[in-house]
Amino acid sequence: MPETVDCLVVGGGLLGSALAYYLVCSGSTACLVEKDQLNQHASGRNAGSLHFQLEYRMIEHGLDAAKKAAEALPLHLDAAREWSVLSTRIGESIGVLQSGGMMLAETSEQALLLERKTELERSYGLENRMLSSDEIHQRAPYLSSAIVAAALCPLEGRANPRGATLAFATVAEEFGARIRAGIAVTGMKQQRGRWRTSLSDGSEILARKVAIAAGSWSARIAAMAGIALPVVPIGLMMAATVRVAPFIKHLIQHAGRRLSLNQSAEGTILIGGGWPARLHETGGVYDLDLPPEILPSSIQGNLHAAVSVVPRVGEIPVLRIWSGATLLVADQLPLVGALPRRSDLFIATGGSAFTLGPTYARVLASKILEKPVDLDVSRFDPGRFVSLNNA
Amino acid sequence: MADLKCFDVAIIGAGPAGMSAALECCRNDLSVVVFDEQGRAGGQIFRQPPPPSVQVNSPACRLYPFGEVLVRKAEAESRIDWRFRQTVWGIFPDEDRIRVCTNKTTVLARKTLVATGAYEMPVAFPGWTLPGVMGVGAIQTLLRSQNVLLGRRFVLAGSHPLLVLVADMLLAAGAEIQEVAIARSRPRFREILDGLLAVPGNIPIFKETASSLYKLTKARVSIRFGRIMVEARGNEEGLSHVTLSDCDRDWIPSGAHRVFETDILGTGFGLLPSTELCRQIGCAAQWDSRNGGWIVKHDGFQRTTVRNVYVAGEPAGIRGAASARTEGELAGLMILQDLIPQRRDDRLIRRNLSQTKRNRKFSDRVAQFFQPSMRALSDLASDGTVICRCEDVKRSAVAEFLERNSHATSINSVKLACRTGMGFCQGRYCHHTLAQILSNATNQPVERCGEFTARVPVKPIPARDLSDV
Repeated sequence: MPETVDCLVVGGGLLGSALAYYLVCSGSTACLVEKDQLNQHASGRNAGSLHFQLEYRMIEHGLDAAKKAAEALPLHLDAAREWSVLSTRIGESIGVLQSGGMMLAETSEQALLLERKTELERSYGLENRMLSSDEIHQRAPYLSSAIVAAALCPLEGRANPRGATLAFATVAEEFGARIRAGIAVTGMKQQRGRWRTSLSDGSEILARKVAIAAGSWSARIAAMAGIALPVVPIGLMMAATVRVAPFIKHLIQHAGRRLSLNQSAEGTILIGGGWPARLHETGGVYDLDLPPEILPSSIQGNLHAAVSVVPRVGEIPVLRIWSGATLLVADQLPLVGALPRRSDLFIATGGSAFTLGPTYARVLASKILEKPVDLDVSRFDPGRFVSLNNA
Repeated sequence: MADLKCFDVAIIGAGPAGMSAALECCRNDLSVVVFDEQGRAGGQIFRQPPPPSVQVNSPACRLYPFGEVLVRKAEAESRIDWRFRQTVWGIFPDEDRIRVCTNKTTVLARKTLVATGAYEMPVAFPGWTLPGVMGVGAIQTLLRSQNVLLGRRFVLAGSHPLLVLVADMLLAAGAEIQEVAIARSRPRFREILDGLLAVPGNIPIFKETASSLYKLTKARVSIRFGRIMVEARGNEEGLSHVTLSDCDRDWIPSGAHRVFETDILGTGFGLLPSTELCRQIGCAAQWDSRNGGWIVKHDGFQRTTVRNVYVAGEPAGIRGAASARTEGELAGLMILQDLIPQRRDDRLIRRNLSQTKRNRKFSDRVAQFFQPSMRALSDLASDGTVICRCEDVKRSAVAEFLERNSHATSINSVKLACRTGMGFCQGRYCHHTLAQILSNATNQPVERCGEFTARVPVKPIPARDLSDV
């Protein structure tokens, strides 16, 4: 007899683990399957930055594009509140520190863009303000003197990406979630109002509902259910230094360069910001099962940006550089909710999925449990792409 | 990043494998660049006195007489572009070439040979991080290249033949050897006979070992089989006491303990292959418990699974200097043939392969004879023992994590969660201990636990040096 559950969660990253937690806490039965190890991919590979300001990639194409991206700000506002209470809620430390984040400008054009962006964010209710040049260097003496302007968002900061997913998974398991790592979903079909899902170990699971929490593999799972997702995977790189005594207090981002930087609780400086790593292709198709190839040009570009902005970083040895993949949605806005034509198949993905993970999980849990959702997520409804999936 | 210098061949490592390959390629008029972290050619095994000395002098040349010839030939070969005191931190595919990045420069090469040798296997036991507890290879290196004798009284423990040679060297330098403890039980007649059968062609090694043993015995040094270190005590100033215990055939401590008041404990349980450059570029690895654990897979002709990347010597399996030399030569011949197919020389290749086979017969015997019991070694660490010394992670922290996260079965998951292997040594010190602990806890073979993913830079490199690749 196949195992029967209320909900099958596909993917053992932050979203999947948090979702499993919320589901079992509400009395549902849930099984989480992860094809590799928990927290092995994007959730455990990112810098743990909690960024609520619009990111460089959202503003680099001008204000109109930024306005579109800003439609996701209500999710970020929710996430800012959510992260601040998570440790208490689940009773496990997840290393949240909201000590403020700065987005920097080195030119007057960048400063102007920052100002416009800050206004836009404030219109959504995000606390964010421009700092004077003096104030910048007073608050962050470690920054290069070339920094002329900055926007400070006090709620930004970091969490521990090495621990957050596992904390949720541990508690979910204590509440009765079944967690199976090293097992992949190989197929799914609808059968008498349930999803009959086959797994790589030969077993099957019958689930009333299925949640796709598979990060960059989301399209693969959706395709098993006959649904095309408007998403593209992208490969990114990150670098980490040796541990040094804390001196970088803020999450650092840049309005004119690809750069994101923070110092972890252990003292490691984590450097990223959107530098590409090359996805492998097999027969012209992206092969997401191989780690994206790290490009020397990205190493050079990313570290150059880091050293220019925080000169002291130049002297600090880098210990490891790695790559990972994430997913972008065609219109740059997240996908959150039931899939078109599959009312019992759910997804959340797109964009800043670590920062938004706990929010995605809470919202998705409410939808799956058919409870009222305390946040208007209608503009992120996957149904907006129904035309891709006409029967 | 324009106008990088391009070579036919880049060789990483100037030990026996790298030198042999370089000479082979150079002899055939290929342009060759060789990188090494040391100041002169020789590698760890034939380490030479650092420049400005030009003397060719290494005790290992007595074991492997070809070593001296090789170093002399290499140093005389001015067509080779030697780049000493540089650290290659990463190699990358670059269209149909390989980009080789060091802390000082970047070059392109049509073919790249990784001949990065091996490093000593550290063993975690209570007190192993005290100053004064170290590998016998390190003791030897300090004595040989810096003329530094680290203390007056020494206890040596382990299972590797290097133990005996280092003891002899220390004795000659005036040290007091309190005991040489060899973990394996006294060899049986059959094993000695097998060993002797493997001797032809390797007489100098046996001669040297026998002569060292003779000198140690004559000096009344206690050499004990079936004995292993179980604890070191001292303070931040240094080591004060070492406890040795009798152990059974599986190296499990059982029975009498003996405490020595001493200055230095040298351990020697063998070598681990330096495979990180190969793995970082994506070369497949394979598990070989007898020849060093995770080693780089190749096609029998030193070609790895990554195009244009070759491997020779210890990274392809711990087999010693003689094998490293022939593998290096073979890599050189294959690189020549792959670059210029009409220069293919089947006769030389065949001759090399049969030499390789003979070397292996010997090295396999040695490996079998001295193979460490990894499980027993990992069990020397108690709950309170630090297993990752860079990040200060105790065995109990790993045990607790595994207890709470029964889904974790891969060594990389433990690394991510517990930080074991995330520090300055990049996992070289704790990998094998952690793998064994995980294997025991999850009841799966150690090779199923996987190996730490190798990342660039393979050695810590200041951010500034990476920002202009």
